[in-house]
Amino acid sequence: MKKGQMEVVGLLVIVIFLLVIGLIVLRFSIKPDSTTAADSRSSLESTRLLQALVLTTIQDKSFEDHVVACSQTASVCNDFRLQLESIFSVILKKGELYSFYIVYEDQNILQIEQCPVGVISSYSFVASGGFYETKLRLCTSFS
Amino acid sequence: MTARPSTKAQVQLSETFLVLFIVIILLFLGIFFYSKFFIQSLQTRANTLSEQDSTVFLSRVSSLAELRCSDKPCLDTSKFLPFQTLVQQRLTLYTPIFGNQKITVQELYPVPSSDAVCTKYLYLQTSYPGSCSQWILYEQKPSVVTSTQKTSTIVSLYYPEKDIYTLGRLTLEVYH
Repeated sequence: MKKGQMEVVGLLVIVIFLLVIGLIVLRFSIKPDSTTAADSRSSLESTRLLQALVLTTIQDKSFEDHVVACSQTASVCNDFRLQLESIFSVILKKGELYSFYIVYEDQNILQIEQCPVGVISSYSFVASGGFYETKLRLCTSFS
Repeated sequence: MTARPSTKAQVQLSETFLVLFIVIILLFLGIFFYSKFFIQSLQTRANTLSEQDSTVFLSRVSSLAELRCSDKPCLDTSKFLPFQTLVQQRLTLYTPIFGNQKITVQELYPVPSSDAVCTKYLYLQTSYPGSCSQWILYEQKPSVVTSTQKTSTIVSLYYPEKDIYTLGRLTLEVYH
């Protein structure tokens, strides 16, 4: 091998070495955060929140009583909706968005929608012979 | 005395040393950056694991027979003050379980009229549960605290005196 060729090979080795270092730096710097962990955390939080919410006494009436009344009279839902919004504003972190639904006979009888995408948790219960499902989605606000 | 001119072999030797020097510098730079990012990823992993531990521990606390309701997924507020006394009496039993941390419960809804920490005196007031809204269930603080990690969850609080359920936040503050 001539001297010139040897020098080119040496330069090539250095370039490859630099590339390897660059790749290692890139691997660690642009590695995305684990979304699975964040989703699990969000799911767990919304499930716990739903479980607690369904038990809550709101204006001397149980949550279930409010839901049953809402399914029978649509006008009751407006007041109940305001109550729920005030509850969420107190218990959620500032700026945290959410979507909340109450489903009865495959129809949304109450719907508060602030964010369409995210992990959704649901909690079902039977009251006055009817089957009700509550759904909650917690979303992080990036604003 | 005059300096002798460098021979061709000496020039080549200098070149070799220069290249070797650059390669060693690059090698050290590579090791430095790799170790820096490796330590950073280890710290992130440690934080995640610690957070997961706290989350699991929160679930354990909310399911403690000394605190939970008998039939529903809630915390019985009437058990809080007896639990505080129990912890003080059996510190040797509870300290290894809870370690260096602070466990508190704060009422959130209905919005409390008082921020006071509940005591036996406030519990006996006719205005209770309006007389206080916070409970310090356990606190063991080490003499030197370098950092604290907070984890919390929403819980349902049951007041058997009034047969009502409210919403609260169970917070775990781990001292490191």
